[in-house]
Amino acid sequence: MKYVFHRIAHTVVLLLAVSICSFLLLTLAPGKPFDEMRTNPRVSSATIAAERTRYGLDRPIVERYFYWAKGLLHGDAGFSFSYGMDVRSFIWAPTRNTLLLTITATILAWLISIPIGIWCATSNGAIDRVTGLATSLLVSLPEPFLALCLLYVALRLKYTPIGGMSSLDFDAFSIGGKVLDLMRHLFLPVLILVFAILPVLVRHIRASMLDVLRAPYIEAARLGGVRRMRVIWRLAAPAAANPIFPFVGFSIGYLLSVSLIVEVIMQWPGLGPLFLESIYSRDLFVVVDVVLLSTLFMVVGNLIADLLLYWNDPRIRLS
Amino acid sequence: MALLTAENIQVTFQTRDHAPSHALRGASLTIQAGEIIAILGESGSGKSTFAKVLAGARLGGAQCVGTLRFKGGQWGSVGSRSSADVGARGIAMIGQQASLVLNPFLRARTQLAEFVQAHGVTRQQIAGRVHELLEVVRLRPAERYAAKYPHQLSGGEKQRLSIAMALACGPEIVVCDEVTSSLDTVTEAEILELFSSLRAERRVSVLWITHNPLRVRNFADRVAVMYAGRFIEIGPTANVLDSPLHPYVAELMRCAKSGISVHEDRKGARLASIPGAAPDAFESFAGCSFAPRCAEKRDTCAQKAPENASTEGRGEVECVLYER
Ligand SMILES: Nc1ncnc2c1ncn2[C@@H]1O[C@H](COP(=O)(O)OP(=O)(O)O)[C@@H](O)[C@H]1O
Ligand SMILES: [Mg+2]
Repeated sequence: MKYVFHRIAHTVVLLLAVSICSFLLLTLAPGKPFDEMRTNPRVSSATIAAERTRYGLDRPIVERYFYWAKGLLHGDAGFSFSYGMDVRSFIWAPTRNTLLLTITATILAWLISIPIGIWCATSNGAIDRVTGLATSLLVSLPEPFLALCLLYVALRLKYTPIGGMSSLDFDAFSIGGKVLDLMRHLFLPVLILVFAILPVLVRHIRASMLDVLRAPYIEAARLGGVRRMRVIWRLAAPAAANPIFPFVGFSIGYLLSVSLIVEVIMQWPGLGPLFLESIYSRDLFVVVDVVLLSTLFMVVGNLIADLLLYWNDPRIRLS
Repeated sequence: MALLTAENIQVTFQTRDHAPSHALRGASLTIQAGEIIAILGESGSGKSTFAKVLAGARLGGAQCVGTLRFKGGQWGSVGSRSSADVGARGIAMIGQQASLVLNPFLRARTQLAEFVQAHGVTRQQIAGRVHELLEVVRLRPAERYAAKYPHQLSGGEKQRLSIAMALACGPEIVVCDEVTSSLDTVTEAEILELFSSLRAERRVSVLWITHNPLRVRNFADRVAVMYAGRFIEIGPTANVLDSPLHPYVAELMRCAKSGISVHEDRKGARLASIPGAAPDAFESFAGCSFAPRCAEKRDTCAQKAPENASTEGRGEVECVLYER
């Protein structure tokens, strides 16, 4: 109960801080909305001033912040100057697309790294060394470079589409065809994301498993004749999972931020391109809303991690 | 016929920064079925290493020589056995810190079930067998203890659970290494009682390792005293405790009874009344390992190792005083 309260308070403070910071950063940065209009000789400066007044841009920043925050409490996420409409009317599609990409990649990365990590920890010698080398190589590659490499390979192989989220004639497909088309478009960006996080996860899973396998209670089980597979999956896995759970939160946050880059490279219609575009045009509310959404996802990710820990560790659950 | 014979077991740890460490220098012991043997010895004399050799535990790259015979069949040289071999053949070890062998993430019944299942018990029988084991170690009511996690148990209860896990493998020999050292005297007495009845009901042999001679009197059938990696005296409990043969054992018993017993220093516990300290594992000697401290030593003691001498009805001893 105390934990829940703590958690909520923490989240609220975090959201406040993040929104204030991004608000400040963007208003204090050089450049303002409607700056492009100024370069247009047919728009008079009076028109621009009128526009600015209409959207409250001439009010002090504190007042604007509270105006926005009050709106948010009523479900109004602000107004986009460059789209000319409410943010909430167009932000859900990119959010959904980003989540689709990130969640798919997160799940896939975990599904792949758990067996590899355990395999490395339990098999001695060559496999472990080869994987160790591969992971340290992958870790040292910056994600955009990785993306470009995979993009090049995909270009050569010509099997998967190398950009966008759907084919041109998407609407003409049947349901099955649509799913298949989506999966083909997902393939490359998901692959990049998985490659980005895989080495980190594999390394930590391996280290944690190795640690647990040295524990006296595992040695005792081995001496007691418990079979190898049961020792690993029934006895060692819960203990090895404990220090891994924080990485569930981390992986979601990390993949979210990497996906913003990958989306831009792969023209995935998610929050990444929207974010970039709105920063260029100083579209204040869009930027703040995207930042806030990302923060919210990370909070949820960490919440999932905490719940998993709570569920797994009886010492926490029953104290 | 002897249940288990350990012959001339030598264990040498290779350490990087020191000379090789001789934990066992030819320890020999025979265990009969349904017998309780107490192993006494100061800290560092090699008791735990001997226990590990019998139980087949990992010795961290130590060099092992010697033979083990279980029910007449030979296991060959000590180092070459696989651990699964031992589990299947029925030697279980229980250590001093029970909390270490309990998996903190699993309920008592889950851990017990894993051990039970590994020993040819069918699915339907598992729950019953777990219940029975909890009853045997007096964790009653068994249903309540079955659902508990290790952190919900007291020190004594944890130790009982670890005994239940050892018994789950259906061992014929249970090696107990300082099992009660971290428990209070009442709990210790209860656990001694438990092993006595285990022996009576199931004919389990018990190897009871301790550094406290006073606790074994009405418990062990025989006592074996270890010094510098060898058993220097083995005999019936009353004889070894009350009329020991070896000068070292005599001094050990005198100290224990007068309450001086042992005091701790950098090397661990050591006898106050005997000059010098027990040799550590890095030393090596040509003759008797106790000679430098012995009040009754002869001229030959420092050069020639004593032979094992059997005395009628009073056991075996390694000391020139008894050589014929
Ligand atoms: N893993 C090890 N590496 C090096 N030396 C060891 C190791 N384990 C035990 N020894 C040495 O072996 C000797 C006997 O140790 P041990 O069997 O634990 O004695 P006891 O249980 O009687 O106190 C000690 O001198 C100790 O230093
Ligand atoms: Mg010891």
